[in-house]
Amino acid sequence: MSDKEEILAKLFGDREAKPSALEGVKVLEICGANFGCRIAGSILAELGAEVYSVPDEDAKRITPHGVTIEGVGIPYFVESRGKKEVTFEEAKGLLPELDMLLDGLGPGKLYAMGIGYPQLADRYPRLIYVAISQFGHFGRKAEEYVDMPDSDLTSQAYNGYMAMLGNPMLPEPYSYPIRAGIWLAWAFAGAAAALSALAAYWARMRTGRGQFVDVAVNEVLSVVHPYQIGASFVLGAPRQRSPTIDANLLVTYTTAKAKDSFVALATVIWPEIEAFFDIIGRPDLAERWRRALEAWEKDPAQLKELEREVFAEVAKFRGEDLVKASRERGKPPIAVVKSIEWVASQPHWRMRGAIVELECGGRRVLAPGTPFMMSETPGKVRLKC
Amino acid sequence: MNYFKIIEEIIFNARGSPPLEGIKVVEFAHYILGPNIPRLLAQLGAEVIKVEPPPRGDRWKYASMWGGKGFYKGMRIDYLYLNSNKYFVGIDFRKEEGRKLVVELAKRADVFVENMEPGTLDKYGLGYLQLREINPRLIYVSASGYGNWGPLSKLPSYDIIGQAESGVIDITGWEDGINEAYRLPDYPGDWLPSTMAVSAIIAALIYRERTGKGQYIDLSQAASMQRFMYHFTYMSLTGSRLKRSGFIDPSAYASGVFKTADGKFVALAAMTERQYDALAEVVPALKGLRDARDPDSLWRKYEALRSWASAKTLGELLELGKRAGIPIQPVLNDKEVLEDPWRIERGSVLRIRDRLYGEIVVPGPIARMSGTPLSVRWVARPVGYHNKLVLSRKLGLSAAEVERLEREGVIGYWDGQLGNMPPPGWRAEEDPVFRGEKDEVEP
Repeated sequence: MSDKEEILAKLFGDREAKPSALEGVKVLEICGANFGCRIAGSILAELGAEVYSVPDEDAKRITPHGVTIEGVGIPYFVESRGKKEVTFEEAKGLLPELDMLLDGLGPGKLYAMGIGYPQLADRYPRLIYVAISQFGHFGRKAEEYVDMPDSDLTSQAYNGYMAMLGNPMLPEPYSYPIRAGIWLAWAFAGAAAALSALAAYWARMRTGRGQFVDVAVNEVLSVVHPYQIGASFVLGAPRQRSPTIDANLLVTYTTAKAKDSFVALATVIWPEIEAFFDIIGRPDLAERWRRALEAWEKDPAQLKELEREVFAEVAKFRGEDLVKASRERGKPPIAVVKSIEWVASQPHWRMRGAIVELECGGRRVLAPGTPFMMSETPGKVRLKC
Repeated sequence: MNYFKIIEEIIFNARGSPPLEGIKVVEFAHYILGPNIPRLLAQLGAEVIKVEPPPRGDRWKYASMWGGKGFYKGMRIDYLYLNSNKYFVGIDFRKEEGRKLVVELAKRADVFVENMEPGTLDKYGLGYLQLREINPRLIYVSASGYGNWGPLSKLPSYDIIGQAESGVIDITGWEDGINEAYRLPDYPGDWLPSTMAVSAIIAALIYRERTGKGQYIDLSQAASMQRFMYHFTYMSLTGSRLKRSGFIDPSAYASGVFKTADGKFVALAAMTERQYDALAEVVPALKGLRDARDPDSLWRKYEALRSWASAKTLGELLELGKRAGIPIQPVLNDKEVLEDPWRIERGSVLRIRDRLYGEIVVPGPIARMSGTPLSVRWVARPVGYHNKLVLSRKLGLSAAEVERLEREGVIGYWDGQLGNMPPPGWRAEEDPVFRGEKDEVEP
């Protein structure tokens, strides 16, 4: 370990003994089965907020293939980190001392129960009320879809994200758009809700006033990613799905099948593309690719043909050999696509707390940790069986 | 007045300063992962100064998209968005005087964001350990694939590498006969971690307010993706991996993507028992299968739904979803997103008038806030465009000093290549912001 690494390891060490950034911040989440809302609560909890959660029986049963831990589904368990469960009645009693209320029930639901923002704003002017819902809490569509709950899958769809994922050349229905393997829309919504709640808290430190924050799960992914809006703005047409070469860059920024594994090829700029073609012993492809790119609009088949040639070359190499060659040259970054079994076994992620191990009824159970590697106030998982 | 109208009034009448007004950020970053952090901070009202070595700077601006069709008036559209609300300075930090200018910017900053390869900035005295000596209140963010310490920390990364190393490619797509690996499109390995980082930064600001202490945030792309992989827990509980399932959400009671009678793709997810039961009322083949949640049963349910959905139009399915409370939404393509009346009404597709690029459609802010509204005020500028404004107005240099720095090549400007130029017809002498006489948006 170099001197600097040693200093950093020490700087980031001793995580449990350090303070948390949001100590003293009180949050209540009433999320129902909206996991974008639960993720927002978890992010705040990881950063040290005191988070109270109203349990939800439906949410407890949302879990891969019905598998449970401690009597609840896996996502519910993982997102219960650092939270204290309270009943709805107890939750109402917390309102006077609350900094933030996360509402994931859908527009107007808490209002109908007497604790919507309009009712609370006058009584608790310092309250930050964060609404997380499919179409937001205002506008015609929010009203039209008031009785339809959200889901990650339908939000990946409505954000225009799924339209770009999957292989349209497979037989039906495998050719249909597919989902990202994580709850990507809920993850973005949770991150958006947490950061805007904190921005509102920061503003309140100056003004003394709380406010209403509206996060629409069907919007966040497509306003953070600039392509759904930007591509069609300049092209005047939707992009086409490309499971291999990148649909934006139209270069070999892609996964490919090597002799023994899949590899990820990170060729973004031209020197990286040329280096990659050199590595696979086909420097001639660079010029041909350049010409095919120029002709792309009129004749996209040229790129497809070249792509086949590239993949045929990649298939001759072992994945690790490609990685080694790329490191020797200094470009482009290439990685073997890791299995989650491999990822879970890596000391790197355990050391950094990105994956944590818990003791649950005599079993050792893994769980996602926290990405908040902070030198003074590290994120903490606070997940217990 | 009904609830929706009350909230609409609150949102549309939102006035006031943005929440992070007064926070100063220095960006020393390129591509997406680093620059998206200050983009969001700037959307929240922070003052962001993007430092680039002239004349090329952040190389992401040159990447060709869609066969060269991705440029809008000389700059690439997504680069314009990603770098909105920022100030652009072209400083050659490899020259001692340039390096000192960056140090001066860091001295007055609250937040410093970089995503160079781990260790790169140390060589110039701009690493965390060096800058904390001159500004102990600084919140310094390094964003990289694996983080700045740990056995894998030396390896280079891009979004796709972060995806491959996190395991997210391994859990996306199909298996059992379809042996393909899909990268998640549009670089979420950059966008998601950078969005996550903003919470950590504001939390660090809040902590600093209490204690006066700055800190170092070491963001890893892969770790940010792993945060959402419940697969680790599933694997350790069951002893086997959670299989890839294409468009089926394995946590739902029934789900998938379907082709409707009018040829549209639609996604449906019955996440709860009540939603499933409501669905089974109209799809009798689902009855009795609710609690069978193994992969084969989820596929059987999908097939039952598929044959039913193929006889319905998208409109009919949406009506059912609304009536019965089942999540059903169309799979929108880019164009449908751009033209979506809901997005236009809400402001997530926003038409702004940029002082340089004129009328332009941009993605709206990440959230709506009633007390401290967010905004996209201007889009990116070429390298060094705000040199005079930043150096004179914000660092207090005289016009003569700025001229000397220019003459000596310490500061510089864009190269005029596609991706790094002002719009056609732009004239320096007619632009008071370029000349440092006015800010982009005057109070």
